[in-house]
Amino acid sequence: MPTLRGSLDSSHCPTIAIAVSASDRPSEFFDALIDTGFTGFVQLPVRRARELGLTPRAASEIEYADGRIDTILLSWARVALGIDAQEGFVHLQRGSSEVIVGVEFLRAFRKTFILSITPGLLLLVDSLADLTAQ
Amino acid sequence: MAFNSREIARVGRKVYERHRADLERRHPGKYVLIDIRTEKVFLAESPEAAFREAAAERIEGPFHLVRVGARAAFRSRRLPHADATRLAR
Repeated sequence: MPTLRGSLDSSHCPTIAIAVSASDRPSEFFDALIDTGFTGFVQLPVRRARELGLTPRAASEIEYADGRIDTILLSWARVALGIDAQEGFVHLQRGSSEVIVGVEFLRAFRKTFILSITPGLLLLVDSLADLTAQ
Repeated sequence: MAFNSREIARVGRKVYERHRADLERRHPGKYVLIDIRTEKVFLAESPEAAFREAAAERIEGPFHLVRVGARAAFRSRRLPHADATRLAR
């Protein structure tokens, strides 16, 4: 897959465009925050997940920065990044409007994450060799 | 079964407890997906791999997902948005 360019939002946080869908439904595009402190695949607000027709398939638990543990719902979804797509568990997040991709997302798509704040550069590359080739 | 996340987690933890000693000795860090209806356990390197194993057997859940030996299957460096959290043991 070619190198993918993301962008920095108004808070200088890294974002990348993804498309999410239930297996038998049309997909919807989101600007997702790349959060390397989140170990999961993708997190969606519950309301957006419902609009996509995603239904809960599993329950699990997540530990937050303050040590609290919350029970969470997981749906199975198809997530596209550029021309590639992967299926995985999407966290249904209550009380949030953010779409987030985590470390498992980078692993599933086998991407190297390159970020430079000053020129506002965000790249997802297959390997560092691709970067030097460009 | 209606999808009640807390009830699924309660049943899932009960099933996990029966396998805990063996799993934590032999498979630390792996993921366990527990089918609540059959109490069948699927062990894999990732949550997604465990789900694919269950799907291959046409088992549809609902499931409870656990990371072997961890306090929670997932971590976030953020603070929770929701009120429905509990303090970790």
